[in-house]
Amino acid sequence: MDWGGPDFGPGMRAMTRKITLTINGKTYTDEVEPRLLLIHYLREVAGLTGPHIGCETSICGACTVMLDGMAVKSCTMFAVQAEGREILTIEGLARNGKLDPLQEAFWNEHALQCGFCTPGMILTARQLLADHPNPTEQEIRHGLEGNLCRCTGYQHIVNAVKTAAKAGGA
Amino acid sequence: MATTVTRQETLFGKRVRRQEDPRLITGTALYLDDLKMPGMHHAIVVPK
Repeated sequence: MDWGGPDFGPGMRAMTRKITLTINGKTYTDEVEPRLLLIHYLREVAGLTGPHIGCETSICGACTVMLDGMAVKSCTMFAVQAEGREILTIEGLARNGKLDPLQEAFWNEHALQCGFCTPGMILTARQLLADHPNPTEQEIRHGLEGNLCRCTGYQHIVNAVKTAAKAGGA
Repeated sequence: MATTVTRQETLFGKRVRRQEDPRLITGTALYLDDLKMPGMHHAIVVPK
């Protein structure tokens, strides 16, 4: 799909802007319409379908990525706002085939069933552990409030974050 | 995790990790919305 903007006919193409950003250590340069949401840019232009679209209204957190080390909901930003910045998606978390402690913990603690919320959960948890290296259960639940899971029920997710914290997950 | 089951050893009482999880925790799993087919179009119903 061409997400550069709608084609209104010859000479009528919508205005686009050139953006350059880093995603998972790789540089991307693309022409995008200013109204293009970051999540659509990541999925449709950059081809990274790890971040998911659950609600597109900033409620569910399935689209969470890290922007300059901060967890953000990528449906809440325009792609042009990511100009010059560094993004980490779930695809970039494992290094050289080695899973991040959070990924290991989610796997070991059965913190997922369908897995749709998992990329967002893991990256939000990464932010949580950066802020609270040894979080209490309350801090974990508070930190994950912006991420909805519709199948596992949160207990195993909380357990996974605790386990990752013990393993030095941030 | 590959587990070899022999007559002496069974999976009863063992911790088992789900085989489908690696792709789900690395963002490589493909959901319906992630698929791209040749000539694929998107359609939406607008109620009036």
